[in-house]
Amino acid sequence: MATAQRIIRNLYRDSVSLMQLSEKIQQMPEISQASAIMASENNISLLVESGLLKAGIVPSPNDLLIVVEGNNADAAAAALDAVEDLLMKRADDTDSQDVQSLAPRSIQMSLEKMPDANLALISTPGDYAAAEALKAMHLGLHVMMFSDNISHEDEIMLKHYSDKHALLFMGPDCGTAILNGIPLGFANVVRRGNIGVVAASGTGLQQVTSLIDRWGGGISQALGTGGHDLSAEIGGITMKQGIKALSNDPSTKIIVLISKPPSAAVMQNVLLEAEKAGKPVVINFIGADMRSITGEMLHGVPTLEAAASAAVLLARDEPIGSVETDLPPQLVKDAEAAAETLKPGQKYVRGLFSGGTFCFETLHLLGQLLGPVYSNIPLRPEWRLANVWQSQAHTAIDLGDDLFTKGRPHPMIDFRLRNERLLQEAGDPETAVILLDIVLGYGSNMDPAGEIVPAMREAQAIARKNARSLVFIASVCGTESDPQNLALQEEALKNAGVYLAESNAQAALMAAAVVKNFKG
Amino acid sequence: MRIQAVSTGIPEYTAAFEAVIHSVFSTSVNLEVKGLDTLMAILASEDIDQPGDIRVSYRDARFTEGLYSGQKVTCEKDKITIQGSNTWIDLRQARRTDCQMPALSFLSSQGSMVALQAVRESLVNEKEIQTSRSHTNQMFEKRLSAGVESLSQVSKSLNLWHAREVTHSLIGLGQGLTPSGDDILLGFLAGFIPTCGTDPARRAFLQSFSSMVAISARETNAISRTYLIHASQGRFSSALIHLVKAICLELDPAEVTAAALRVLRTGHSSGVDIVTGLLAALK
Repeated sequence: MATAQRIIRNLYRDSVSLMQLSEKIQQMPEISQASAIMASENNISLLVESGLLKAGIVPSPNDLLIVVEGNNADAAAAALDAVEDLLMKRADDTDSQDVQSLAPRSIQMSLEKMPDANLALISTPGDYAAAEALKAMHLGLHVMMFSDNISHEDEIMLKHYSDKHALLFMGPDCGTAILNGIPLGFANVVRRGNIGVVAASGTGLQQVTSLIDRWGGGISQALGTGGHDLSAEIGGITMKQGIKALSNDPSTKIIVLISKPPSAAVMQNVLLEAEKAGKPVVINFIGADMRSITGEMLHGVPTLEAAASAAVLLARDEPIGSVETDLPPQLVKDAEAAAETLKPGQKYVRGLFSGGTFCFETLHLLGQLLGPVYSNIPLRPEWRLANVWQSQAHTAIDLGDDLFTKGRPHPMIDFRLRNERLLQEAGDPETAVILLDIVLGYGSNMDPAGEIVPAMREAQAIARKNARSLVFIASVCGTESDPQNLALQEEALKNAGVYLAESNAQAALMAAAVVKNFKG
Repeated sequence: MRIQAVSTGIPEYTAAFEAVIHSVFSTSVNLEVKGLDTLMAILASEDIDQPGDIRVSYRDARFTEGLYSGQKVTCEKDKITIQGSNTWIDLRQARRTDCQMPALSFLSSQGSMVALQAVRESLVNEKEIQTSRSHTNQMFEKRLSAGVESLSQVSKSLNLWHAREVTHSLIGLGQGLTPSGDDILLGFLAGFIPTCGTDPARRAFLQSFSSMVAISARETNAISRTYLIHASQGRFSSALIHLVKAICLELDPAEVTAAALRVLRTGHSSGVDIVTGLLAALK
């Protein structure tokens, strides 16, 4: 090894440039170490001590000292020559760095570059998110917070701040919104129209907006509130803000609200706000007693599908009729046929979900029809899985839960965990139906069918070895305009023998029908 | 081309002067001003004032284009002109700032401990993002860490001899245009000031230590020396003052974190080093 050094007099480069220079030198051929530092006494003494520098250099703190260690003297000298050329070339340029293209390093700098922006989308580690959100709101911006893991106190503080300053705060853990036709986070490409949505559920929002699009309706705005908005401490601040905003929006004719059931007090406040909207409001508080939703313009519905259906009908000024989700005749027949393929002992539904709300809705529907359904997000404490990695009886799992996503991408993006679980269920002789959600749109895997179909085929092979067959039922949440190509995805799944339902609710009903029809 | 100055630090400097450009960067120039022992900078920044500097809007960062070391600069009747350039800077409506640390008290209360914890966590997170694992870095890290530990002890012991030793060991040490050791000393001074209160021993120590830093600053480069001399006189960037205020006034942790991040993201590692020194004083 050989070291070499060079002093460049009175040359000033900012710290970032010096760091980049050091890194560039270290990448040069046959160079193992390099440093570009000011030639102060302390720096020189440290480098001499470490053997990188020979003693005898006179300190000159205003000068730049370049030190390199290379495989041999020629390599070291060549590196120094290259560095000096680089530095001199930069010194000759009028300014090699285009100052106007300097990347903004803060929300304020970004706002100066885009003064018309009125929303900050925050996706930082949880520790920083609250501070960044507050900075954004101080600057008068609305906020969508994708980040999770902010403290409870911070969440309450931010929600109240936003309320006080008439700013919309979507989050935390808000992964989905569609604003002025632009999908944000995990969201589908949908037609623009006159139905506005406020949802405390990402996949709930995706299901409703996708179905509205499929049935010819369109979306004015779709706002996410974050998962805790309807808790007692927060009281539905963002949901109420959303209702107000859509009420005042001339392009919104119908409002849809989606959430898990809030507490009684919060529900009443939200319903009061909904009544003041002056427009029809369709409300799906999944699993709530619809009799508690009363009001001339309020329409309580039991499922996400029913919410979409009601909204589309109201937008067309047509009567809603029955709000119950029924299986279409074809799926009724398919359920009977599927039941015929089962063997004695196969009796359980195993739901493997990437969307928490899809899992939750399924738990309610299957619970009404089949009794206890075990889960990692159970409806009752006694139905919590003893071991989340092992199904028992009827089971529906939210694979997007933190438990499963620590150190892993979300199952909407990465199918490995779900595929592994699928094969595990295939090996269980009591598994009759495997129930799935397939979610398309921005943010999701670009080829979900391509990811899951091989695992399904392998699962069927496992079942066949044991003289069984499995029934696969799925719903695809997406639109024709989504990047994954809805038609191709559905075709690939059908070709793999999957029964496709138009909605998550229908898929759940079909799964229940199969096991109920089976007389073994 | 007329550029409106947003603010000027230390008003008496900017009445009239003659200077020469010392160094040019992408968003700032440093001036050697006749009669001043520190440099004066003209810098484009979104919102941060530096002591003794003239701030223009971030949108006017292009003003540095075409400038070079050695160019003559004149200030007369609130107008700064640069020889050979048609760019001039209008100081007439610039806000006057002095970047002087206000009278604050740091008390060891629960609120201030919570605030300090918020700063510590922000520092740890930022260090994780910034740390390079090169061997040279690790060498400097070891010596800098020892210096920081010594500063913490000095903050309690008020031992001037020890303070002199640690100052000498840190001045000019480290990578960067403002070497890490200098930034640590600067941050330490900012943090030490509010711990003095009416304690005569601490106030006396501060005076001696500040002088020590100002004298030792000769051993580092002119740009870093400028900031150290300002710090020895109690003048700091508006972002650093805001952070010290946030801690001493025990603001909400989210506000403290926001203030800490503004400082932490200064330069390449300057912000991290400054906050490290600050915490050593407040430990």
